[in-house]
Amino acid sequence: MKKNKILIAVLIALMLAVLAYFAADIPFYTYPETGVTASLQSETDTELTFSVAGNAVFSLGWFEAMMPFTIIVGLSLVCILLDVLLRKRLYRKNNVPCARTERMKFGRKQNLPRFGFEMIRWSIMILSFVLLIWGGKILGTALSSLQLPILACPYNEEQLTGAGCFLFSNLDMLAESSVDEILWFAGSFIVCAVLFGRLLCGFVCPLGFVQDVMHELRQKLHTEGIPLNEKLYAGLRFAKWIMLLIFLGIGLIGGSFCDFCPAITLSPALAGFKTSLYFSGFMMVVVLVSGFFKRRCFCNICPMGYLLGLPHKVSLARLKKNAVACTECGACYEACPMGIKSIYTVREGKNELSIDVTTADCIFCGECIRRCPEDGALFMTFAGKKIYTASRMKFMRDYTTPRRKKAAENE
Amino acid sequence: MNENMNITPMNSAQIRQQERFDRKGTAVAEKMLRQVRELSHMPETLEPFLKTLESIFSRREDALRPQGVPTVGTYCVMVPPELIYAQGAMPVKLCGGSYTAFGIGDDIAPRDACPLVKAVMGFEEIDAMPVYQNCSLMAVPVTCDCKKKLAGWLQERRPTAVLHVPANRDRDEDMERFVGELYRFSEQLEQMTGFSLTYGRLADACRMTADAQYQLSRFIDLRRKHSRIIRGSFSMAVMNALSYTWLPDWTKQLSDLNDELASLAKQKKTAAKENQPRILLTGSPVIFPNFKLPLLIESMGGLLAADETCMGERGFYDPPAIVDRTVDGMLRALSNRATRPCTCPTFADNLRRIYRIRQLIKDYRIQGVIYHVLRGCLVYDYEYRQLEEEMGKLGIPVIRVETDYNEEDVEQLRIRVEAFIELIKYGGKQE
Repeated sequence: MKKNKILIAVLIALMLAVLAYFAADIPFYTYPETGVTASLQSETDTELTFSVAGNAVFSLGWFEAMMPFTIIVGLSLVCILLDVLLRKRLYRKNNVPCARTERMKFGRKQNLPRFGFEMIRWSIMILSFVLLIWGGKILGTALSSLQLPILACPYNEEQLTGAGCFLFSNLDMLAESSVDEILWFAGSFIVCAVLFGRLLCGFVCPLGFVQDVMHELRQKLHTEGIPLNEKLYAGLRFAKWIMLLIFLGIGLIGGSFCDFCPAITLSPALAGFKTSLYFSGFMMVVVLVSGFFKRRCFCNICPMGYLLGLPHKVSLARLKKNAVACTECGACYEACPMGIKSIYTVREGKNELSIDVTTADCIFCGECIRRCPEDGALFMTFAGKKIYTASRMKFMRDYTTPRRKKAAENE
Repeated sequence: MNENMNITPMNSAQIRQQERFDRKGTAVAEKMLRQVRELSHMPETLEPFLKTLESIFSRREDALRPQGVPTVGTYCVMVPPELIYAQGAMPVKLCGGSYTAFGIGDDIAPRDACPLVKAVMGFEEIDAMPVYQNCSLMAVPVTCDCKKKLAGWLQERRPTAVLHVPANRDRDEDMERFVGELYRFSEQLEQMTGFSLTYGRLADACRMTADAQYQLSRFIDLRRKHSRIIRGSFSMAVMNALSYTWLPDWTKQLSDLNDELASLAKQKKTAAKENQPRILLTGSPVIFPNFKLPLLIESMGGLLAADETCMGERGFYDPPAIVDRTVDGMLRALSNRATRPCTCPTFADNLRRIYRIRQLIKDYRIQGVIYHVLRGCLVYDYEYRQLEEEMGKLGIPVIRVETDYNEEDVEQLRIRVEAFIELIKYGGKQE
């Protein structure tokens, strides 16, 4: 039994590796080579393509550039529909058609979003999504030497900052580039990674934003998702290791991670760059579909995220827990898109009232704190300051019938 | 005699029992209610809760609810009320506290069975309590040994849903198995009421319980901030009334009580003197009319500041954290709520109960802990040791009080409780 599992794991790993290596031979959508395609192969090329600006939004060229992404979205929708239908056929345990549903009158209004951590996070995500795609157009390319450690594709030459992923996955190219570039890369990458860590995943990364949007879409549709348990998370963790190996190693053996990376389909297309897609097109379909059924599924296997999580012991944002107030209700674990179980099981620590439960996987989305019903049991600090604390009243208000001001005053 | 008990036509023994119940059963309930009412500083808005208890136990009426809604009898906190409300029924908690019913059950159950289960069996035997008799379905989670046998015993007489509760919960599958139990339970509910489980209905029901829990959170918050605002016996009456009240009504009543308490807090009025020792009651469930212990604590000059019992605040304390707004997501949240935070000692790993009590001690500035053990309630008795050790570290005095469902030991208990309160008041270190 155990042997079988190892065999399957090795086979999957090999398959992924082979797919990644031959990614460039599996075209998803290619543009004819006559036009100037975005390419970062050498510095001269970079300058060349840079003169060819991306097409303006909603121009003909932009629609042409958006073509592959539209196909991806369409494919994803078909996959999601298929999945929902198939699951209904396979087990209809709770999709039994209801004869007549006479509703009890308890009010069906949705609670309005309130100002808080959640809203701030969404605003920052939307802002950074815009800036990382059209930022160059809006604010100029002054910050383009910065290499943010996120999966914002550098093929989009008009984003506000650069992305460190390219040089990281092409370590051989990094060795060949100028000292200046290496310093910029190392400086901005390391400083960002150490200071913010995976906070960038939760707040800045455009690929994460797209997955969150897919998740919200499912919430609106009330479609059943795929809840993961520790066994499935262990599977994802294995996939993450493989992805990391591919990410770091593929450049050295002559492949390119970009042909495999899902991020390439998103940001260049939206900015109007015609980018030929190879295997990454299929990867993006996987990202969208899995992100629909399981929140931030790709983030669990993202190699960039893993690298960002490495300095989690020193980064500024911290997640802490009051072990006495905690009732071990597991709400945080249920809410966590990254499947961090230790957050609710940990009881021992130096200071019982403030145990550091930050792990390498945490993306600081704050979902655990939002779903924590105990006053002050979980809280997030940034540079030593408490920025978000769990509260029973706030928690309850997420679920109650919307009330008028008068009732709220009575507390 | 025991062999003939289960035959349906009433035999002479049963008639005698019913007569005895008619005579004595209501008397105890009335006496307890009178004692509750005689306590000083009763908020006016507490009356509806006492009325509910009075109508159920003294006038022996069925639970008030909209026309045509069947009731489902539930036996432990693990049965999610949301699910029952969603499928068009009303849950009533049937764990019994009646001395007379206990006397009847005593003849059926083995000697060492706990009085709670004996009382339930007694109620089941005599045909006098409409809350019990009118239930269309019983939902019994398999928790302690007595409940397990009760489940089997009930299955022979009534339509019963037996919910298998995992004994441990450190693995995710434990919780997920209970999700499966809830789906099965939901099917049984559907057969009974004809309402299937849909997103809209479940969301409505969850919102309804959330409204009630919001009020409960306000209540708890008020008690935390002003630890002498209300007597614990009153709070236990509120929580016991919840078992037999249509939830929106209870929410309204508690909202009124909260408003009154908030205004009392503003006027800086309190229900107890500053020097009254603040006591935490924990251990076996305290179920109306078995209010012996809370009443003793409060009449002997203590203040029951908080309780950690499953028919008290604990029974409705944990809200489901609905993360995924789908039917499956909500059921997962309900299952999660029912298993993981539960401090029931029937779970093998239950360190969280100690932490919970420590938090309560901090929140309510507790000075002494009274550990209630019903005779035969082994699981609670087991955990006393551990708690005593922990409280020793904190310097909080603990006393273990073992009682049964009768009034014979009241005087003995009185002496012990009084001595304990005196100890906190005059002996040892002062705050």
